[in-house]
Amino acid sequence: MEIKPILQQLTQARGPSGGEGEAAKLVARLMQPLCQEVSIDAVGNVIGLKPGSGPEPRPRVMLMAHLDEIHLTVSAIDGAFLRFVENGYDPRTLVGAQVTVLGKKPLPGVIGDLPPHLMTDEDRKRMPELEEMVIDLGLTAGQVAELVRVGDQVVLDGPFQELLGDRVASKALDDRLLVTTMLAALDALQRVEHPCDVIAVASVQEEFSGLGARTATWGQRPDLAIALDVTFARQPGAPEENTFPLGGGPAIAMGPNLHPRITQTLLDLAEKLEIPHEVDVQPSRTGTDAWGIQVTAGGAPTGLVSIPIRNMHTAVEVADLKDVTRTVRLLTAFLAQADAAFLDHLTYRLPDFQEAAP
Amino acid sequence: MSILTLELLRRLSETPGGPGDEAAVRDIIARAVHPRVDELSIDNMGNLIAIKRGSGASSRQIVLAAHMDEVAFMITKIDDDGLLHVAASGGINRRTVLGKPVQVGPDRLPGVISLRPPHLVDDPEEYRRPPKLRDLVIDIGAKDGDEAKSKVKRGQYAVFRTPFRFLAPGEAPDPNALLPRAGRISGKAFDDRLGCAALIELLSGEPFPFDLVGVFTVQEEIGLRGALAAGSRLKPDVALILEGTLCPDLPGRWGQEQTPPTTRLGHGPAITTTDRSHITPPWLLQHILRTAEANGIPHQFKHPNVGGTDAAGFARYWGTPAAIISTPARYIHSPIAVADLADFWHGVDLVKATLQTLEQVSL
Repeated sequence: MEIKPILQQLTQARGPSGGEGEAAKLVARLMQPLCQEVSIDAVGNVIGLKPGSGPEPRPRVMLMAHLDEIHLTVSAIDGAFLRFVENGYDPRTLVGAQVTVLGKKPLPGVIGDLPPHLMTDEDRKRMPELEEMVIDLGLTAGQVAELVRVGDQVVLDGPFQELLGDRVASKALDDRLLVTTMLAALDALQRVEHPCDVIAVASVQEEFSGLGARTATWGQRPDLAIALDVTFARQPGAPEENTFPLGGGPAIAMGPNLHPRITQTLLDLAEKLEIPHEVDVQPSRTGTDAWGIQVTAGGAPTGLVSIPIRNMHTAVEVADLKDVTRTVRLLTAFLAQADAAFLDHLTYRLPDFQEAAP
Repeated sequence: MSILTLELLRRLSETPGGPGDEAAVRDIIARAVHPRVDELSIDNMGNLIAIKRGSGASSRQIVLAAHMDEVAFMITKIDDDGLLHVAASGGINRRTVLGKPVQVGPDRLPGVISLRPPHLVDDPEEYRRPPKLRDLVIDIGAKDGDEAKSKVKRGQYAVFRTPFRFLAPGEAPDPNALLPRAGRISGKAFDDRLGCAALIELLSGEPFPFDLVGVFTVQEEIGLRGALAAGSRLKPDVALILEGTLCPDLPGRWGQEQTPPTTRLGHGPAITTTDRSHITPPWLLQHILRTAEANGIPHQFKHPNVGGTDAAGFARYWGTPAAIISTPARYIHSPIAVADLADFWHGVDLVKATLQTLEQVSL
């Protein structure tokens, strides 16, 4: 599967949290030829099933990457302008941005700022606050009232740009980069035997409440799961210990949110296959779908594989596609070994009561 | 028959068990309760589930829960000087960490939390601020980064190394005799190994009319994670949560009035009416209070709206009625805590009496 064109389509689709429909339809269409069945559940998760070749009952392994992107929400109509609140965007990046307001139809707009000539000295020294910003649709107050209502969602326009080498920039690489990775893994599995049933889920509302991860886990009852998300790439000003080199391979997360033996298996496979990778130490909440999956429906052993991107939660997220190829190799190898014995390996054991306590 | 000894309590307290790393604590508990329960299993999260079958007189299923984990550090980076950098797993009181001994990783390697000698501190503000976690390092005595990396891996846990002690009055009792009903103790992880000890005790006695399901949970300190998983699978009729809770019954600043403490040491087990994440159903609260009064068991109310417990985790999915009975413990979420064994035993008595008469309450 060619990564770039798929990623371009997916990142450019609009899918704010709770309004993932357009992105969901596209993912369902792309999943169709790679799965035996594709369905969309009650909250909008896109779920593809690719049965494995092992004897029944086969382990059910869920891959999950989230479909939704961060967004703004219209909070008031102020004449010809729109006031808004943000759900995830760094407010500093909003002034001067191009947006699409998902009103009665998609409406292009901009978030402007006072020209510097007209600013007071005080204004020049500070960033504008969200409460001072407005969206300008270039329409009259009457047209705005007709086309937009409070609660309409807004996404930033961030074109898909091919940078040098294998690097790209776009909006919504968080998390369409990993939705693309998941599709590429399904594609690779057409040619690789895997004993387990693979359930690929493009989940909704990760950026909001984690709803999709929970309902999909209730519905699918996976035996284990791997969440796929972006993480922080190293860039100036970011602390070294929780950032990873862009193009340095996937980050494999370790910590209480993850099952230690899934983490270890991923690390061992990466070593064995000589896939460059990083260890992502997560002492508590990972801020990903793994958090919800792990405790739902009795709890599913969970792993987390992330790809580092720069400028997360802006419209110019930057990724290196070499990391996608590497993550696909890692996931494919993981799924190829996920048999009944592996499930057994994940089971926590009681001590041997015949033996004396240490 | 009771099986609780000071020695068992010492091992429960001293053993490391950060969130997600509860295996060593779980093994101690499993060995202690194994001869006394009918079924023992570990779920997908690592929760230990011990079932004591009832006499058959009741079809109810009652959960008693206590969490095995304690607040901990996780090693995020090993630097070229061989010092370990950390992040917190759970809410550690940062004011208490400087200059404390710790144990690192599965081999429980000794280490200390380093700080500059006061002679070298030039910014007086540094004395007034709690240290930031990212400024803390653990020194295990490694001569360089390579030696440190041969002993410790990123992602391993560190917890405080605090010897368990029997405080005054009088001589320390025989550690292998049954746990005395009076006296005070100090040690780490009383939140919630005291709850674990109480649950071990309650599982060891005579069967109740109903099936008693003891759940020793994981990852309470980072968001009630074990309770959420167990609560989403089990659907008990009632859950009682056994905790070691806050007890700031200390004199305030000299000459100033102290705000009312959350609980007071030596005033009996604390009953929660509401905390940050849970409201105890009034009928269940009533039943516990009536039981305490009928049996003359000293008790106190925990100050409302403070802290959060596994009760919310068990209530989340099926609306399981849940209540919390706690042993007050001073200084929790730090290297050391102090508790009163009379409070502990009155708590055990109260839970036992509450369970014995629970049949009379319609759910």
